[in-house]
Amino acid sequence: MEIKIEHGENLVISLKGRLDTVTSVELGEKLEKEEMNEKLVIMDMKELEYISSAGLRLLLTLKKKLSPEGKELEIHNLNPVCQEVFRVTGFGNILTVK
Amino acid sequence: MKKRFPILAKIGILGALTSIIAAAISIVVTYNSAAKRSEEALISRVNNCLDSIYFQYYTSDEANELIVNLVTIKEKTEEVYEKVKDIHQSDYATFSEYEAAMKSKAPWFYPDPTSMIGSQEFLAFRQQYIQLNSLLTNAQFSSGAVSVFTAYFMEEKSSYVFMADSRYNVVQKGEFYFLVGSSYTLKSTDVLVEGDEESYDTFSLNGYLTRKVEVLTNDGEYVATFFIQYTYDAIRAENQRMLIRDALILFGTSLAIIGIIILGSYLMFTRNIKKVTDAASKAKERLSKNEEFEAVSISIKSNDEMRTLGESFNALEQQLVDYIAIVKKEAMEKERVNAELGVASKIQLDSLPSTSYYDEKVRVESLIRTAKEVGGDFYDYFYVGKKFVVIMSDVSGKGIPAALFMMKAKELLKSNLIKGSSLKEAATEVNEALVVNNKENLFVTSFIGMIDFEEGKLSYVNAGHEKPYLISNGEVIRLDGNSNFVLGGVEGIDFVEESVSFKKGDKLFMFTDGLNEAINSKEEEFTYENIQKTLEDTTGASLKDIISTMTKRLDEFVGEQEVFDDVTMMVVEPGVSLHLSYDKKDYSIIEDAVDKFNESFDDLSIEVKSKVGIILDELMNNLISYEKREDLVIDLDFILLDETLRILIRDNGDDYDVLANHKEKYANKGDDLEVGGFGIAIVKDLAKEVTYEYLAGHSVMKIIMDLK
Repeated sequence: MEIKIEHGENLVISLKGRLDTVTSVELGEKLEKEEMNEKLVIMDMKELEYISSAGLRLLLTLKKKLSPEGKELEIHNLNPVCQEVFRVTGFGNILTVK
Repeated sequence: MKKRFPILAKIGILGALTSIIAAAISIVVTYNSAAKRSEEALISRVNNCLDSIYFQYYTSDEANELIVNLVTIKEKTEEVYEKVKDIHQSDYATFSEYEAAMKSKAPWFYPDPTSMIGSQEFLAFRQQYIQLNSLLTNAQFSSGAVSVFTAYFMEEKSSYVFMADSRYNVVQKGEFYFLVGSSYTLKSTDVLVEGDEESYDTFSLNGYLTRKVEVLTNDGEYVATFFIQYTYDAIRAENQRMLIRDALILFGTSLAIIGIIILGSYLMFTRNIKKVTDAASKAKERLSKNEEFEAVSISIKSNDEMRTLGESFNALEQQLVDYIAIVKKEAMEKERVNAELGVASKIQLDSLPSTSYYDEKVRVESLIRTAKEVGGDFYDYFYVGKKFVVIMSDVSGKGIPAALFMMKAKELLKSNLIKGSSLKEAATEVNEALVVNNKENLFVTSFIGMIDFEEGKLSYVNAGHEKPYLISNGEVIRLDGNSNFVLGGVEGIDFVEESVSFKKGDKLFMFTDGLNEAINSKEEEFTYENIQKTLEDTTGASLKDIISTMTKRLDEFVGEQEVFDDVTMMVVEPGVSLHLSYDKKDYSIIEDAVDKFNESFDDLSIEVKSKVGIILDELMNNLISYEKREDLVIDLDFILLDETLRILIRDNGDDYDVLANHKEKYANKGDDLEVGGFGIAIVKDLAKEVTYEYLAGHSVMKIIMDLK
């Protein structure tokens, strides 16, 4: 799994590969260390193959971390399979998907 | 049944018709011989008359008295004749003048009619005369004659001299006397009856039909002649009466003959015919009712054609009985043979492997249609170690011989290959074995292929068989390698083995000539072109669809035409399946499993692969996270079947149905969500079907993914 983090006006995290049990741990560890000063964090999933519930858990953890700080999390460019996962779990309702 | 017309009735009618015709002919003939008939009638009457005359003289004495009488009268008449022979009535103008002339010649003979008294001589003579006259009158009366008169024949004059007449009673009329002594000479024109010219017995006289009968003494001396006269009307009436009588006699006789014929016919023919017809109708009835049929012997005693018929009938009936028995036996035999053929056909078809076969390595679909109950086509497939053998064959000929040869060829091929022979060796050995004792000169064409999955290669020997088609990367190619001679033909053939690349995604379509040579009503063949086109149209289809499309097009092509040859086809492709086993309780195995799956099922869509990735991640994560035992072993199987992907996840952990025990969780805006608990919901959504069961100490999760 490739993770690309770009700081600027917004924090853009681009994911490539799978966001699953193993990679979500890897991503979680990476984000733990990352300073997030931008008001908006964009998770770009354009090149993400799929996301499992472990990945969803990570996203939920991230949102719970950002919300108290008044920061926003947006999910961009979901492929159909990922959209289906978001739909069936209701994550499409609690996360901002664009 | 139509009413029969008995032979007896026919004979009767025939007899009646014959008799009627005969009677008619007789009547005509009789009419034609009327003249002869007249004489017969006359003779009959004369006899009556003579009977009447002799009746009064039925003793010889009395007859003698008549003769004496006649002789006396004759002598007196001779005397008178001598006196009056020159006096002719035609010479006198009136009868009185003639009478006077006669009286003057023989005064003693012609007395005064008023006094009736003459001389003693006359009185004696007169008495005799009255006696004769009364005799003649009686005779006339009783015989119905017009007159009966007597004359005597005078040889020197060839004339008859009149003696007495029944019509002229001597007491009442005197004038007849003047006829006594008158003579008459018979003229040739008086002769009436043909053939009587010699005797002049019958003739026409004074317009009457006349018959003369001579009276002789006992010594044969001529005395006098009686003349008996009839009118023609009387004779005609007599004739008619006799005609009717004869016709009646004829008719009666005919009836009697008919009766005799009918009775005779019955006794001689019909009775016997009836025996035959009775026996025949009885036989017919029993046959039609399908009853047990037994021969009934008829006995005919008459020594004629009827006996021949009866004997023939008996013989035929016996033959029929025998024949029925033979037919019944043959029908049973045929039934038995058919039943055995059915069994043979079943054994033959049972000897073939299933038409469908799927495992993780290989997938096979086939179809066999036999034209007769047992045919010569066969297909076969089996593993030899890790390699998979496919065989498509066609035995020359059809029916039982072909079937037996086929079984032999099939078993020989299989046993040789299973013991480890190469295709070339196997073909050679089978050929040698089949050539031995092959007196019927049967042979088999065979395509023998061996798939090596690890090397992605198909090795094959084609022994004179139809070249199969290889379907690879959307293209259909005829497997145009070396075609060897057939198996079982001749000894010592050096079979050539060849090979071609055969990998996952490739398919091999084999068939027998029953497919390409199938003909329609216009005698056109199905041809390789149609096979090729059908395969090109179905490159992306499942094996079942390829076979069913080919069959459908074949059926449409052939139509109502009778199928003469077996049709067999088989399509094979390497199975796309994967087996993985992990005994490490580590999350890294999930990544490994997903990677290996993606590698093996490269041609599946990204969407399906992603879904499988998610499912594996969720379920394996659950196992690794929650299963307590440390020696956890997880086995994974991935099998492509038809339009589905089947995933089996087996572990040696506790019996825990995660599907039943998970809580439905769905995130909504504003929820204060706990982390986790969405995995099973995702799996259920992405899979077409998910089931759990605990089997033989293992938890088994079965997932079916739809590939469409």
